Amino acid sequence: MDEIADNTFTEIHTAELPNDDPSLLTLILELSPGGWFNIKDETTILDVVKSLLVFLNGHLSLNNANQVAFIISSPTGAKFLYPNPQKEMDELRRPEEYEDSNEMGIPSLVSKGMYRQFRIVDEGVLEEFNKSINELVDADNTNITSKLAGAVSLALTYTNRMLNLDQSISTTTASAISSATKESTGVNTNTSSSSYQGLTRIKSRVLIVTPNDNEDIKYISLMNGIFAAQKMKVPIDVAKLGKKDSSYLQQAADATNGIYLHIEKPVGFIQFLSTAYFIEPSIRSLIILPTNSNVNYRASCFITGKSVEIGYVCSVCLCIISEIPESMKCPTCNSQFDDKIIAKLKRKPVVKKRKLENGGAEVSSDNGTLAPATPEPTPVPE
Amino acid sequence: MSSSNSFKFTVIEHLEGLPNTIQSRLYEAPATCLSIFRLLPPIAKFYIMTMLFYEKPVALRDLDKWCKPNARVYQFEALKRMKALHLIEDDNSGQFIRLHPIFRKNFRDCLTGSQTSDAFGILTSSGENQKIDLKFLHSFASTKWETILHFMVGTELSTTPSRSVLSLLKSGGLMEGSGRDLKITNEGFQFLLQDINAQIWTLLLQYLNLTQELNMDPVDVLNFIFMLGSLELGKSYSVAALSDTQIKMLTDLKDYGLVYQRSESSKRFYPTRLATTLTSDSNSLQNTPSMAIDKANNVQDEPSETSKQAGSIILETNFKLYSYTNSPLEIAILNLFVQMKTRFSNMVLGQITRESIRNALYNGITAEQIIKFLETHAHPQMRMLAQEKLDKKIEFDASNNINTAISGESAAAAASQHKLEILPPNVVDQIKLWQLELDRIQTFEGFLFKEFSNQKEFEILRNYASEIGVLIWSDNTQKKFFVTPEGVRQVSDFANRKIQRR
Repeated sequence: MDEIADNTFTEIHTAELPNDDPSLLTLILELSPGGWFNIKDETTILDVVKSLLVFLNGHLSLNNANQVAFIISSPTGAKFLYPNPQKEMDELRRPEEYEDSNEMGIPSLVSKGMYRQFRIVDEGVLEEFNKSINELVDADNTNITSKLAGAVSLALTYTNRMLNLDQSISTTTASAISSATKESTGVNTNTSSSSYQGLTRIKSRVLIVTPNDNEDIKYISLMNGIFAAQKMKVPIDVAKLGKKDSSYLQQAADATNGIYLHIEKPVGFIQFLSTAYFIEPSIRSLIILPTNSNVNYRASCFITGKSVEIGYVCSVCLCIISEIPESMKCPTCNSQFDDKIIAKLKRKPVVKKRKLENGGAEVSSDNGTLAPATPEPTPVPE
Repeated sequence: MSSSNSFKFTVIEHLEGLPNTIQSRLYEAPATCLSIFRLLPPIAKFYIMTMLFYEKPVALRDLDKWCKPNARVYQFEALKRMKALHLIEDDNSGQFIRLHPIFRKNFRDCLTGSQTSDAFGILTSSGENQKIDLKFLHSFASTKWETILHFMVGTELSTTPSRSVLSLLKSGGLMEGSGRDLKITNEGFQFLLQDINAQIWTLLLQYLNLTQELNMDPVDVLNFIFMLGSLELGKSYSVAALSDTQIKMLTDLKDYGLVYQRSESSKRFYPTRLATTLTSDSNSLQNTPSMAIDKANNVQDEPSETSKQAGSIILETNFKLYSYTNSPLEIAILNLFVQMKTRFSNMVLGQITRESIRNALYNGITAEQIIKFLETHAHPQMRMLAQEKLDKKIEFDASNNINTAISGESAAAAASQHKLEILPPNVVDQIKLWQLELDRIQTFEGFLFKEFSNQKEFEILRNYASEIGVLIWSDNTQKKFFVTPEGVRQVSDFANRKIQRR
C-alpha cells in the first residue's frame, strides 16, 4: 500500500525549500579582563562589540520574527544585557519619555534613524554594556574565574522559555490576526507547519565569543549545559579569540553540532561573523560547516580542575581524577577505593618480552573499583 | 512548499519582472532593501550576508564549496533568484560575482545604522489629543478587510467596500459583472482559500499594475509598501515625509485596512497589523520578548476569545465534516468543496464526496489548497488529538530505538518522519487521488538534449542536471534527457565548459 501511495504522489519538482522559520540567537560575550588584555594588540572589546551589534542586526533582518538575546559573562557574574526586563517594564510604563531618554544614553554609537527593531536592541545592549564595564572596574578583583558555564545555562533557560512560550504566542498572534479576519483564513499555520520539528518551531542557537585563555571554566556545569543543549537541539557556536584553543568549548561545539573557530587575528571580525557564524539552524543541513575535526576531548580533573590526558575514573559515579586522594575515597561519591587495585594501577608499566602469538591480548580484566581511564575516544597529544 | 512562502514567491516574481533600472532605483531605499532581503530564500540570504562585508568579488566556485552536494538544488534556486533581481552581478569573466553596489551600500547602511534618518518613516512626536490603541487598530483593520471578503461572497452587509476596492477586485479577475452587481469568479474563490498575507499581496500587486496605468511611479509605490512592512505597530508616523504619490496611496491603503488615518487631512497615519506583517511570515511572533510575554499573559485574560476563534472544522475518517460556524463567509468557502447537508444555528454539517471535490477541482482549486484550508481551520480538539498521537508515536519510537535522542542528525531525520497529522490521512490521500484522476497526463515545457558522442559525456551532463534539480526525464540507452526551461542555460553553460576542456 505504501509503495503505491509513494509512487502516485511523487512529483518531479520536490524543490521544497528549507523552512524559513523564525529563530532565536543568543549571544554570550565573555568579559574576562585578562583575556582581553592579552589580545589588546589585535583588537579591542569595543570593535568586537560593534561587530557583534551589526551581526545581531543581520540576524534580525533575516525575518522580522527573529529574536536575539545578549548575555555577558563577566567575572562579577553572568547577566542579560538584552532583553532587559527592568527596562522594558519602564518602557511600558512611560512610552513617551522612553523616546527621549534615548538621548541620555549613548547616542554616539546608535544613529537615531536606525530601523527601530535594530535600534531597540543596539541601544539596550550598549547601555547595559557600559554599566557592566563600570561595575567591573569598581568590583574587587579577588574572584576572577570565568562564569561562562553560568552564562550558558542562562542562555539555555532563556531558549527553553522562548521555545515553550512561542507556542502560546503564536496561537495568540494567530488569534489576534484571525480576529482581524475572523472567518476568512486563520493565519494559524503554526501547528500545521510545525509538523516536521515536533513541538519546537522557533529554531535557536547560541554563540559564545570569548578571548579567555585560562581553562578555568567550571567543567561539570558546562558539560551539563552542553548536554542540555544537545537535547534541545540547540547548536552552540564558539568564536575563540586569543592565543590558545579552548578544549572545553571545542567539545561544546562538537557535541551540539555547532561551529568552533579559533580566530587568532580578529581583523575584520564582522566577516567571520557574517560568514561562518551566520549559518541559520534551518540551513545547517545544507551548508558545509566550517569546523575543524581536530577536537580535544580532554576532561577536567574533579580535584585539581586541570584537564587530564590520562587519569582515573571512579567506577561508581564516573568522576574523573588525575591523582588518588589521600583518603582513598572518591571525592564525589565517597566510595572507598580498593587498596590492592590502586597499588596495581600505580605500578609502573613493566616491559615484558613476549612471543608474538600472545602479544597484545593481555588486558587487565579484574573488575575492580578503579580502572585506568583513557579519555574518550582518543587522547590527542598536545 | 509551505503556503507561508507562497506569497513571497509571487512578490519576488513580480519584482523579477521589473526592468533593471526600476530595480536599481528600488534598492536606493534602505527599507526596501531590508524587505526584499527578507523575501529571499534562506540560502540566498546567507550568500548575501557573506558577500555584504567582503570587498572583493566572490568566485562562483567558492559558493559551490559551501554547499553540500544535496543542496545544489537550493543553491541553484537562490542564485537564480538573486540574478533575476540583479542583486548579484557577474564579473566580465563569468567566474566571479558581486553584490549590486547600490543594494550593498544601502543594506549595509541599514545594518550599521548609518542611513538617512527618514528611511523607516518619521515617528510623530507625542502630543496626540487622542491615543489610538492597538485594539482600535486591530478592529479597524479587521472590519475593513472582512468587509471586502464578505462582499466577495455576497453577504448582506450594511457597508460595501469603496469604489477603488471594487475596481481592484474586478481588474484582478476576482469578481466580474458591472456596477454594483458583482459576482465572484473562480479565481475569487481561490483567493478566499489563501492565507491573509497572500490575499493582501494579491490585491497589492493588482494595485501596482493599476498604478502603472495611472502613471504613478512604481518605485514610489513599492517603496511605500515595503516601508509599511518595517514600521512599528501602534506608533503614528508623519505624513510629511511621504511623496505625493504615497500620500495618494494612503487613502487606498486605508480602504484595505492597512493603515489608519483619522481624516484625509490628518498629518499622521498608523500602520495596522495587516501592514506590519506584510514582509513577514503570516504567523509571525512579536518583535520583542517582553511584548511576547505580555501577549502570553493576555491569553489568560481572554481565554474565551482564543478558543472561539482558533478553528471550527472537524473532519472524520468517514469524510463527514462538521463546522462550528454561522458565518456566511466560511460556509460559502466550505460549499466550494463540501456537499452541505444540514445547517444548525451554530454549526453546519457536510460530506466530502468525489463529486464535491471534483467540482472544486474543475473550478481551478487544487487539492493542496483544500487540504491546507482544512488544516488551518481544524478545530483545536482535532489538533490536540493529533498532537497526542504524535507524542505517543515519538515516545514509542524513542523507546525502541534509543539512538534517536543522541546524535543530532538522525534525530532530525526521525523528526521528519513524525508528521503531525491533523486531518485523517485517508481523507487527505483520497482528495489527492481524486485530483490525480483528473490529470493523468502532465505536460512540461523544456529542452531535449540528445546526440551525445559518448555515454560518459551524457552521464556527466545528466548527473549535473539532476544535481541542480532541473532534470525532468532521461533515457540511458538512447542518450537523451530533458530539462526545464529555467535550467537549460545552466546546463548548456556547463556543457560548454566541459567540452572546451577536452
